Amino acid sequence: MNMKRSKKALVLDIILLVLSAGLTTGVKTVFSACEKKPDGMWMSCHWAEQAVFALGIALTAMAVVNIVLGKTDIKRGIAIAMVPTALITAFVPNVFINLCMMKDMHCHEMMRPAVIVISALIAAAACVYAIIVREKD
Amino acid sequence: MNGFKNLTVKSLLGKPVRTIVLVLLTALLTLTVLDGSLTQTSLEKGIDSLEARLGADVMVVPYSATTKQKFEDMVLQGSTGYFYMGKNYVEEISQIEGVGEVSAQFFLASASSSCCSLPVQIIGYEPETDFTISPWVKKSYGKKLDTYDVVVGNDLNAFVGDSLYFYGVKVNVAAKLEKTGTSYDTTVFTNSDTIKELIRSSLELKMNDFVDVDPDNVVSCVLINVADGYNPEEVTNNINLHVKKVKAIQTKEMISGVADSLSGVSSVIGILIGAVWVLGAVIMLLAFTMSVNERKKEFAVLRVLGASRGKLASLVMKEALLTGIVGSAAGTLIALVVMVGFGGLIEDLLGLPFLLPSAGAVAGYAAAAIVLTIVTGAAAAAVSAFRISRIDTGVILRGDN
Amino acid sequence: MPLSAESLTKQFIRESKNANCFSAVDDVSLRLEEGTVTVLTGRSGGGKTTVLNMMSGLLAPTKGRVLLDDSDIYSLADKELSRLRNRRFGVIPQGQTAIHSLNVMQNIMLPYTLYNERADEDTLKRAEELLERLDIAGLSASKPAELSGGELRRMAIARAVIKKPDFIFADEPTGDLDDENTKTVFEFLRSAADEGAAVLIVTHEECAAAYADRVMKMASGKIV
Repeated sequence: MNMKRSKKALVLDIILLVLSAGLTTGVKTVFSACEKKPDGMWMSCHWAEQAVFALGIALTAMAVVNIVLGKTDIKRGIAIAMVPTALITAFVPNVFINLCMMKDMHCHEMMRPAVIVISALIAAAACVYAIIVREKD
Repeated sequence: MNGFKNLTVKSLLGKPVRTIVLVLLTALLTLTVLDGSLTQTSLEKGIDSLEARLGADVMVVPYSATTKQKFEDMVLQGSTGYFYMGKNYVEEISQIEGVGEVSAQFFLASASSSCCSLPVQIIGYEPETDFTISPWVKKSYGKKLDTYDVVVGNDLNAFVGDSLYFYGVKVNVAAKLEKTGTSYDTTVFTNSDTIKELIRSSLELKMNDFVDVDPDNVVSCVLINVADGYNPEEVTNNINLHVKKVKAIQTKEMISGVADSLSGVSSVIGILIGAVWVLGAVIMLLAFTMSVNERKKEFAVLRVLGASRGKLASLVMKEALLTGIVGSAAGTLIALVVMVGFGGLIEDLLGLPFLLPSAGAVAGYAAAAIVLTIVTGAAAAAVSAFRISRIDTGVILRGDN
Repeated sequence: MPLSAESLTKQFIRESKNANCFSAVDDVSLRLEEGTVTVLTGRSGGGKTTVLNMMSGLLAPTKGRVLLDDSDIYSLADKELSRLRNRRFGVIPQGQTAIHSLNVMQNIMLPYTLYNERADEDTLKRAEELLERLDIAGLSASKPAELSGGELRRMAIARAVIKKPDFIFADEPTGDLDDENTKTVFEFLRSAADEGAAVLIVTHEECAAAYADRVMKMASGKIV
């Protein structure tokens, strides 16, 4: 019974870590915001990218702590904290911080949907974690 | 506890790897069918939308605009551009035999610099004569378009009430149009007075390619609907023959190239869907056959305990149904996330007009994809279900000693 | 209400040079009375298992009838015959016969779950008692993979008798068991008969005779 329980937790721990790390690295690479303007200025979407990057680091740190710590209650608490953090991250592009004017730019086509999807997955995985990883008394 | 259903679930959980493979396979089938058919439909809707938006049978532009495909690219690819010819051409063209309704349009492109909020195509139309843009604008904005009011395409990140600047002139966003899946989604529409002001301002700022243009006496494009009894081809030829320095283009011809690309892409998608489907069905058949064969002894035991032949078959079918439902639900979810979330990217990659159908239609396609997937899984399982119901219990059990 | 086999014959089609079909069982008649243990013994290939399968409704005979309450069980449709087998017959097949995705208790309760019958208090109590008697009490939540051969066999016995069947059919129930387990199994089957069931045991074991009311020997498909 003991072995089984920590197996569930370990799998979810890894999923949360992979997703968080993926979000953090991805937003700077695969689904980054738009390039600098010709005159050297960043466009508004760049700051959205920075904000997502920062939140991603926070989420990744939480996921790492989760793996390292053993106590179920603390782990569940961290998972619960990851839910609103991830949801906020999903709302950064174009809601909290404006993106570019044209919807066919990279920030609209790649960054926004990718950030929303991955953040939603993190929130969902964290919810599942909080629900199914329990201390059996 | 519903024991029999429990048996189904437990059997599936007992072989987690195989169950996961089946679920993933089912998800893949649903994903392929749904996204494939949505893409095909969106392409068709895109081209219908393009034809509807162009609105006119024939378009006449200055001859210089047709070199290097400038005009076609503007319409079909969404590149920005502008050109002018004298206002007198409008009168000359309307005299040509077969010409019915006539309306002029004015083009301008804003620059990617501090003078302008964003670099877009700007199209001005004459409300009194226009028959292509107004009916469509009316859907989103019932009032008359005042001077310095603009209507923006759906893909522009501007909202009603926002102010935009073009060549230093401030305009107000009065309305935002529905998505068309064409280049018009990144266009700003104004009435003729407003655009003339913008052109004037661009000239004053020396940011216009054409230096000696009088905004009040030029037009960019003349749109024509042919009169009853005439066909667009002959009217086009008439104009090209009799009016110098202009080029008349049949809109149907302009679209035909796109239509050919579309049918090509559509066919490829269709073949892909078919191939994935056949492969998936075959793998499912193999998976179910293997799964049932491995458990022949267990099925024999169930028979010994009093399960009828029908019950054995239904056990297999229930497993197929469960994996089918879970897999197709997952596949549908992923398909919708990809299509709706990354639709812009797909549109960009295809380079063709692309318009997703309404939410209701999408739901319909999703439902059809789910049903199709479940039925295919059930059919694949039915073969094994039938075979297991025919087992000779005695033979199987004796096989041990 | 006895179960009687009348002139049972079973022919199989075998691919061989000379004979097209061979008789596994030839004109066997047998009667199982309640409260008795009948042992069917003999060399391998003698047709014992085939007789057991025919009498328990699993294999239709080529000729002859199996009568229960004066009607041929093979005149029933498969659905009814299966139901009959579920309610009134308890079969312990040869070899290992656990359903591996279910635990021990779920295996034992299978005769109920197959027909979506809820197990009431009494049934659950009976199950616990059976587990005790068969000395596998602590294993109800274990999976078959965790059990030894003897424990699995005893689980199969519990499963066969959970519904208190009128007829119990045991095919080589002590096949790969040690002496102690063998004794436990035969004792249990004897007590089941003493409680009213009609028991048929197919076995090689010579010690089975000590628990039987009747011993019959089969060779080449016939009773000798």
